[in-house]
Amino acid sequence: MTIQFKITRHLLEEVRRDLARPHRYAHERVGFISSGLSSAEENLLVLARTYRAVADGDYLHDPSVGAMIGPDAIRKALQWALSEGVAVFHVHTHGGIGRPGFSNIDLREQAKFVPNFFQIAPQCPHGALVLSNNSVHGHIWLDGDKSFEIVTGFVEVGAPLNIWSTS
Amino acid sequence: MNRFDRQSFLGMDSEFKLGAATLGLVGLGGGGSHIVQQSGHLGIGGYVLVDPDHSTETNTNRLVGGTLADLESLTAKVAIAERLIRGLQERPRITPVRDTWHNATAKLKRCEIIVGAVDSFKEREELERFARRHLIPYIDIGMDIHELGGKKYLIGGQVILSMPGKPCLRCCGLITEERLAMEANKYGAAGSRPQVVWSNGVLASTVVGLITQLLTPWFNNPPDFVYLDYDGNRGTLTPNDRMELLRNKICPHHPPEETGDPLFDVREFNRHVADLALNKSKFSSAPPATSLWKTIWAGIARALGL
Amino acid sequence: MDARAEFAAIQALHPSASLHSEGGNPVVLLPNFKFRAGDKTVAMALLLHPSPHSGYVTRLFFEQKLEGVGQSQNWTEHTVLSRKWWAPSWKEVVAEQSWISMLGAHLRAVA
Repeated sequence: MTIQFKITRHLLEEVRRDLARPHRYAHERVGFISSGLSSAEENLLVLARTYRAVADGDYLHDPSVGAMIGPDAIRKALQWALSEGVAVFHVHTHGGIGRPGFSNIDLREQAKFVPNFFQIAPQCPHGALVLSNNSVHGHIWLDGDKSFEIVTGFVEVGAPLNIWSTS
Repeated sequence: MNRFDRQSFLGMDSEFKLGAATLGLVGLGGGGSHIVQQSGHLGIGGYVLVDPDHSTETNTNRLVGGTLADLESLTAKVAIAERLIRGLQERPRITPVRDTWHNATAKLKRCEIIVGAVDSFKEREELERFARRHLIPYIDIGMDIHELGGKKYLIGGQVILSMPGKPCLRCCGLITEERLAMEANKYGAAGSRPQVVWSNGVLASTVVGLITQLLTPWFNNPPDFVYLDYDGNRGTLTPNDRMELLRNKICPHHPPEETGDPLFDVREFNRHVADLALNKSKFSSAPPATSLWKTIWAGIARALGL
Repeated sequence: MDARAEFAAIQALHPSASLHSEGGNPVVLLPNFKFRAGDKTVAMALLLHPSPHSGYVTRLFFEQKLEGVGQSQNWTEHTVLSRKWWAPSWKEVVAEQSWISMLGAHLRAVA
């Protein structure tokens, strides 16, 4: 099975611009990307639609981590998944060059909140992305009760196309 | 020395990028067959080739790769295209679909680029919409010969790059309700429209140039919206005025909320994947079939005490 | 026409109906809809497109082709909402009517 995440260059640039904005006390910013889905035999396509930033006031003051979002941020994202029936991907950036990776804190937090999305929108997978300045890595849950799969390929849709595989 | 050395200016890893790409080609007639040939030469590695027809006598004035022998054997256009590519590449990944593209959508979804060399506005619109839903750049190619009266003719055509988020065929004015209605009144019959090989060649070569710009880094800041008009009488290919007017326009005809298959359900997908895995394991654990000749030989060997 | 109200009326008739969008236009999916086709009752998914599509002012798409049934003719293949559908050439359906009436008018093609 391959899992390919596609996003237009325009949208990815919008995401990067937002995540680069400084925050009063959080060291990192976080947002959510909604996606449509499609399948081709046993292969899954995740097709990014729109981005929503986490509001400044929805971050928690926690100097021990880069960014901690509060329950309001999660609630709004859950509401989004419910009202539009979309797949939702948490996204943040670690900067730098090359393939990024999730930190242990990222992994711990993902495992806590991503499965909740299945109670709201069980017809969609949900997941998390981490960006570097020139690459992306992603986890996707196809089932709220199981562990994540790794997104195996990314396409930044624009001229020229930017296509890369993580497998 | 490498057979792609003369195109190394396309970029250090261009050979890899072209080889790894999969191109969807819908329509393998006069325009599409040129694109197949050039893509094969260029080194594009993957193809989904879609056309329900076979070669006919009136195709032979323009079907690149088709021969007179194909007429006798009613060779399918997809077979002609596949033959062309296999003559130019050692291990291409070819999925031929001798059917309409409506029956090839699962295969087309996995393409990096889809090219539509189709005859009708209705097919163009639906194919473009399918491509947009799957965030696949769509390139449209079309040629027409218009009779002007007094035995004078105008050869015209267009190439349009329809990139997700950017202006579409409706934004360009190519697809309109009036054109669709006129076409519907004729029940979509294209009829025997005049077609010639050289005009198809100009347009197809332009398409392949765009494909190369999308897949390799040779051209700095390639345009993400292209609308070129072909005037076959003057021998010109020029940007349509809308290319500049619409350059920064966001397309209203394909809202981002319509990206994806609205009927997708991950629970059904999981069941389908589980079923496929189960079928694969059943197949691989079944005892291998014994050939008839092995059985006969085993019997003979026993009889002879071997 | 208020799309939500029109859809609500269709959903009252067929509870599993769902509302989608294609090109910014509302499209109604009616899974497993039972209707009269010639001398039989059949059940299949239908897709009602109450605005212009493929040169018709409104269109009804069928999951399966019903060639030669009723007055329907010139069936063509379509891809709408990423799925394959069939539609006959049937022009007797104006846009200025309720969606329920529109559905009935389209189904007369195969009655």
